[in-house]
Amino acid sequence: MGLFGNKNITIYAPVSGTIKQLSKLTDATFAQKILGDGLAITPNSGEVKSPLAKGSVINAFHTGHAYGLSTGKGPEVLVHFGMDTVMLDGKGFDVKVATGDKVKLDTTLCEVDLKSVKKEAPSVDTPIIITNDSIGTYKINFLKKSGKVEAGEPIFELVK
Amino acid sequence: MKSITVKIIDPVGLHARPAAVVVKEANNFGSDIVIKANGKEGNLKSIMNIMSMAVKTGEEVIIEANGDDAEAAITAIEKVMKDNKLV
Repeated sequence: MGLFGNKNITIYAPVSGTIKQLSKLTDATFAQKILGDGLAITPNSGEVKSPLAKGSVINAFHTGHAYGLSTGKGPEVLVHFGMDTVMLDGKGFDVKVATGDKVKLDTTLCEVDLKSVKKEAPSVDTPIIITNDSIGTYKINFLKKSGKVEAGEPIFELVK
Repeated sequence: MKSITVKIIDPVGLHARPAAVVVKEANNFGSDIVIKANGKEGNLKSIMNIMSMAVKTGEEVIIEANGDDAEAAITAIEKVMKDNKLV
């Protein structure tokens, strides 16, 4: 948990809920890891926090359903709340950050109206992935593969 | 240098799913490939770059490739965009 030197990058759960393998997601783009590898969490709360202890927002989509974050070391993290949630065009998403903002573990990215999004979107499963084009020579080491998780818990790390 | 101008017809614009396919194709080529839309320019080999440009439906974009395989890159990218009903 950050004690093994500063070469590894730890990715933390941005939402509390239950871990789901990417391959179990209904959207092929994520299930087939076309964008990248990582994990998904089925959230039980609408609070979305930073998945990084130290990073910056490359991209806060105006619709609030997806966030691109930079680790500052090359790899970029994509947090995508729900499947096909881009269609909601922002309804139910209260975005708390802007492009360029620095983030810490306790930074809130967004507050989602979980009840409303559950009704309107096919799924609230939230993938957290490292984009293929940014992972470089890092490898993903999963720290959790299933079960319940709280926001702020380490879920995987990038190791060289 | 080779370039094409296309109009995005996907109702949701150039977002995650189609962006991923185009980026994957762009990464098959050695050329530098950029996408230009509404005054912004992004690296077509970067998923984050493309998504942050938030290209909407109905917008016209220019795809420009520079390098030895620029011609092949543009042809392949155009095909992928058409196959995925992006343009």
